Amino acid sequence: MKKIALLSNINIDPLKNHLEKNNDLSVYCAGFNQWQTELLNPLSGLYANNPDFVFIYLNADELTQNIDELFAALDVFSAHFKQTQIIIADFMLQPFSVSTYTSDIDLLTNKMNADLKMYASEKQNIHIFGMNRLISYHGYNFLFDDKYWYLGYIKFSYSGFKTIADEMNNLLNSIQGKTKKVLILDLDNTIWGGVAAEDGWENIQIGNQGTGRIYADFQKNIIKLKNQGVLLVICSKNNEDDVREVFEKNKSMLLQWDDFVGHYINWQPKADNILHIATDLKLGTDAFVFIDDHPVEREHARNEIPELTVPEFPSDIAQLNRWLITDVVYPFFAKTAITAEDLEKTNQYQRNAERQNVSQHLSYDEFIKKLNIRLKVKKVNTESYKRIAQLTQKTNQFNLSLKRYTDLEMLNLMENTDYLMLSCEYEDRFGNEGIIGCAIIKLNDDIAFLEAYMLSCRVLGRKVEHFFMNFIVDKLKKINVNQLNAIYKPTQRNAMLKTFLSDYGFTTNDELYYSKKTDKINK
Amino acid sequence: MNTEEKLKEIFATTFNTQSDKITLQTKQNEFENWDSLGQLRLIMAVEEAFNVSFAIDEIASMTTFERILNKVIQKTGKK
Repeated sequence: MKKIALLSNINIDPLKNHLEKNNDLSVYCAGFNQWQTELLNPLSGLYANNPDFVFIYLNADELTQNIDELFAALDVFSAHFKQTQIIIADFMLQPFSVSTYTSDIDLLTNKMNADLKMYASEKQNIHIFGMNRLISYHGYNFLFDDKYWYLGYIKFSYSGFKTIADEMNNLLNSIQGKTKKVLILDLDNTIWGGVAAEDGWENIQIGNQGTGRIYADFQKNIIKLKNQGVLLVICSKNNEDDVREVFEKNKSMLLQWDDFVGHYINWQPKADNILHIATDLKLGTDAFVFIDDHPVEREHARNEIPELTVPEFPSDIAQLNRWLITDVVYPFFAKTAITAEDLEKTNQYQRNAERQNVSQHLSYDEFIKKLNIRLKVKKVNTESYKRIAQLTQKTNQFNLSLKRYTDLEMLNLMENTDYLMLSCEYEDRFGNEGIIGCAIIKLNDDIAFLEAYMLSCRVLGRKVEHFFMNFIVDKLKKINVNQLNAIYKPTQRNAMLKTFLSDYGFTTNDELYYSKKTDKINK
Repeated sequence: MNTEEKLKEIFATTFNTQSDKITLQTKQNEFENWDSLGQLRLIMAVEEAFNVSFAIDEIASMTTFERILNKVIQKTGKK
């Protein structure tokens, strides 16, 4: 369970309950207005709590300290807790006050927020919580209530706390990379209005007219998601010819056939199709979000595949795009940064489909040979560490220890000379897949411990794990390491690691602790 | 669910206890976390659940389950 600490200059204690309700989180709330001493004093409850996350909300109306005092306190705390991610709410003042038109309160908060942004941009462990954005979306009166201020120094209303907790949930998921990978879409009355097979490809609602604009905007948003690395798949009860006609002939369509990495257009139950998608993409159904306008299809998919995410669909179609952003994008696809791999993701999966075609006509060894695989193994560096952290968060199948690392932990390990961290980049005749694997090795004289070893599922089944391990063993030999140890953490999905370790010549007595001498390299 | 049952549920979630532990006589400070801060969390949750609003003076006197129940019934008109 992750730990979060809450610090404020007002009473935000009720946030604790709301956060615990939403998340698998243990929450520590510092005493009223103790934020500064908690950050500065190594004997404080905050230091004893050793949290994974700290949330700081400073109400500017009540703030007596200078913003530089906040930054100074943060510097002290961060020096002690390098791994802790700090989330700071941006500053706001009451929108209306006695000074009416005479003072420019925006000037003050803008300056504070600019300083905050500047400070955050220089640090890896600081994230900004968009309080002003919540206020401009929901309204000050909805989020704040004076009554509790006078009863107990609380400024937020019940709805305020709930809204902040929901947004925190989204932000924490995105910081931890706990987001979904695939968006599965129904077609009729979901990405366009009407039914293609009945209304005809030319009569569906999409484009510049009437409700067609709703679906056009929806498709634009979906394309943006795709460009941020979300994989799109069609799952529709239809005849494929009718659907192809829409994509080929209707010029108002913004989404194109090739934007989707899979097209499951048939009359099979949708849950069956979704399970096929999981097999074909080599991803778990817990990485999928399924959007369908039909309540029966949603219910069926939910019942058949409990780990699938199936959001409700808006009953008022005018709300479609707003719903997509607040109920789908923020909860499931929020990102704090976009990596080069994200931008390439759809292409990579499409090339995979081509590779599978090649493999159908060749023996396995021939197939591997014909791929012309080239691996580039490098030490993890400032350009690659974010991608490596992302990989550790997202890889579930070929993953030895399932240890997850944040950007920050990665950065710290990079500076630690006891560690050898290697990234593995993959290229074949179909294209460059970017960084698809990593190894994190702790060195201790002539014995090395493989703390993490993983490969993206995109390249599994091509002996990459063998080639990469050859590099590692060679490298260790060169620095006079003669034994490599590893602990395998068995889960339902990573059994292939066990097979790999014994194939590669690791020895074990209990199928958990593995060991290999580096002098004998297995080819 | 009637008002009394619904209110018991709110007590149970707010103070991390079972709703059958709550009686009409249950009063403030009987649970460890029904302190002054607990009181605010409780009243916030009650206001939200029944869509009612209490004045500051009212809140000060709402220190037993029965008094809170009566206030809610008075505001909502529903038993």
